[in-house]
Amino acid sequence: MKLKRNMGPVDQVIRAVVGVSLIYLGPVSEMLTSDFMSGMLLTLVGALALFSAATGYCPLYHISGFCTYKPKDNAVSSK
Amino acid sequence: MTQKTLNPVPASAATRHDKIKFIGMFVGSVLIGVVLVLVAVFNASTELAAVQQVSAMHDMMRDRLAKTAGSRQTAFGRDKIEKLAAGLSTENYRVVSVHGDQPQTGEQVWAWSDVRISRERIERSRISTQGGYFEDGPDIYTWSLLPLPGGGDQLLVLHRYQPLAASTLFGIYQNRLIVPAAFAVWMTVWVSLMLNGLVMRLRAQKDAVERMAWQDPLTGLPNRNLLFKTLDGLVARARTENRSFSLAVVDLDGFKEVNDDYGHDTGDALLQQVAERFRQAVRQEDVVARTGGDEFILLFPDSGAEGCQAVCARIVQELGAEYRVLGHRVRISASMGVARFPEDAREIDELTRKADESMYTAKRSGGGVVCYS
Repeated sequence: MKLKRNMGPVDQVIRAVVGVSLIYLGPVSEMLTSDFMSGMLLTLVGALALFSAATGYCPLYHISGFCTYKPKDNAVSSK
Repeated sequence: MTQKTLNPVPASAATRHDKIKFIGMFVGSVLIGVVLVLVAVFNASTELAAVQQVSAMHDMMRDRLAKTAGSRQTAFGRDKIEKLAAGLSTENYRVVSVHGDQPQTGEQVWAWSDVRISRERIERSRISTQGGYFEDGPDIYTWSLLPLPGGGDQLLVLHRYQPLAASTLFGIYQNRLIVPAAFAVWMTVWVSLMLNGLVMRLRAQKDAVERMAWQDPLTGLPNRNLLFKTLDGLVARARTENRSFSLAVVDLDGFKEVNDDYGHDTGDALLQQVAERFRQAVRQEDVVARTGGDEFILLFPDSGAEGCQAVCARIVQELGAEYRVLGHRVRISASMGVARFPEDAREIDELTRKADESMYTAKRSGGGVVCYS
């Protein structure tokens, strides 16, 4: 299943940074918390942020009808 | 001039939906929930600490009693109790001998600073067979009752301490609770957005169903159902408030020929233009409905006969002007029959029948005219 892109490049970069930061500050360095469950939750959210950054697709944007992706004018759309 | 909106549930009101309010309600409720859980966790932590304290104190005193009593199980006198108490921090601990093995409900009271501790208070705050705890001001008192070696009296040991400081508690919260709480809020935003989307879709479907029920899909004018619903209301109001109104039946002359000559597409496009001319010709309070192929019914509430005649004349003139439809020049006319409530008829069936008869009279006379009952 191909995910329809709904995220702009700036959004993707921010999400990638947030995703890596959450995983680093949580379970990796334990700077934010040493609690196991909290670490797992941070990993989950960080992984979701990295996934959406990699694919350019955010399910939350999709559900709420929000979109930060602006296709170029000369782009050819395909069905 | 624009036509009065007839839809009983206006689309603008039905689709109005405050997304921020919707999501805010969810997030607000989960924040309240998070605060309540944090307070409950704090209270539970305090109680757990007290329970642990009672257990530790009981075990410690049992060991000390055993050591002080030695191997011989002789009566445990006041000197031994004082020796036992001397080994504890007297500032935070208090050791007293209680008479009898059975709990007594009498007024046996011990004072510690300005706090009075009765036997009854002790028993009421029991949490296990080992002891219990109670709060007094900012302090927490844990207590434990132990049987003295040799039988007879019991030993009551009290420990006074202050609960965890807020800063300590915040450190624990920060490490263990803040991330799960933030996660719960984040999840709630997701769920509220999903529900918001669902509500929006359901509202759109409801609007579409209402439009299908009350509107003519080709022209967007009210259909027969909505017209007669409005007419019922108009008649009821006219009767109670002693008012009058007019009803007009309109039939297009020459429409069938347009359909036959140029096809149904042209006929449909012509009907859309006719509907637009109706909208332009009537007043704000008038109602136009499409009730059949090329048949329309108009309601003129709150207007005298003169006002109604002026609008009818304008409609006949507007509809009789030339149309440009899908590349064709078309000319049709309209035959109108008008009846007044209650002068011409006092029932809806009779009113429409009279307007119909007048319309046929107009048609027989060549069309493009208005006839009144």
